[in-house]
Amino acid sequence: MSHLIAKYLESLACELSFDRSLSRRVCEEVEDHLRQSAERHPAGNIMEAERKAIELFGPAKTIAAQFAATSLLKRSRSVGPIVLLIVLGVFAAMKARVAWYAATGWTASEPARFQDIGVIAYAFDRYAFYLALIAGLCAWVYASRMPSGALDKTRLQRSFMLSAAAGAALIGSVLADIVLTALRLSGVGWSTSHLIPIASVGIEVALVVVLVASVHAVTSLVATATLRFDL
Amino acid sequence: MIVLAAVEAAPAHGYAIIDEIRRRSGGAFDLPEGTVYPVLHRLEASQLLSSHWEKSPIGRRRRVYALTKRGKASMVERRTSWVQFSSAVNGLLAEPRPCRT
Repeated sequence: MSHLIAKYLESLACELSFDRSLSRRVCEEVEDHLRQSAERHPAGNIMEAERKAIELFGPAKTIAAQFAATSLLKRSRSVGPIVLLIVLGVFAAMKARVAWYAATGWTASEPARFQDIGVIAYAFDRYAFYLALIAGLCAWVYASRMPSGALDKTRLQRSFMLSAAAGAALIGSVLADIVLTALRLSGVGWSTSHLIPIASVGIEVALVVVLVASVHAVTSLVATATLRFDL
Repeated sequence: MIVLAAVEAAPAHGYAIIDEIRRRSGGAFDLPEGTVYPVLHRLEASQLLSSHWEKSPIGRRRRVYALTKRGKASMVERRTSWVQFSSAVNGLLAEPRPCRT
């Protein structure tokens, strides 16, 4: 590969660095295109043929900006299903813990002095979870209906707001679960059987961490790309 | 529609698609070459095109695009709309005839 095409591909890869898999694929496609184009131009020397091929192709930043819009839309659409899957994952962990309590005949509940806190935490847990589920569903439906054309920043922001609302409600629900589980376990002496409810709460926390990380990754990617390409 | 029409006859890679558009439009659509690739990716994301890597005769890897079933259906629909639209405009732009009284 000659110098000019290599330099152009380097700058295109740099412009597309916000999405590495897209950058790899695009650079490979563009390299093939530019080489083919250079081979077909009856220019005097290789450098001139490559310069002409690059000129016909267009500036790397302009091309990258057009790819950015498609890539961001695709990434934003993927947030909705992730939110919903994680909400359902937390629900499965909750239900598994409750089923385990029932299967093992676990009758211990919160110590009497903490019963008021238990009632509040239980109600908070329930409504926060419903809110997370509804917001997650709305985020999914809204993101999947975003038109494929130009990037609509207002729609994108609304979609992220819904995902963030689902995430915040889920964090509240999981915190309430932690409180409820801690109260339940504090009422009885320590035994290895406590590891099951603790593990299920651990799974819920891990799922919430994944959710926050996913939403954060996509929102920062969108912020970087929209600033870079003035989308 | 232009890009879909260029792939309709046979699967092709980006460079061949641009060539086909230029050839079939008699040079009227001499697009900046790089702008075709984002369009190809967008059409693929909309499931109107599918793509896969192939080896070129000289051993380079190239991405080949083909119309999907959905793409073919969309092409039929767009062609019908275009024929209706263009015949309406042709009717309007035709040489004016004196009104019969």
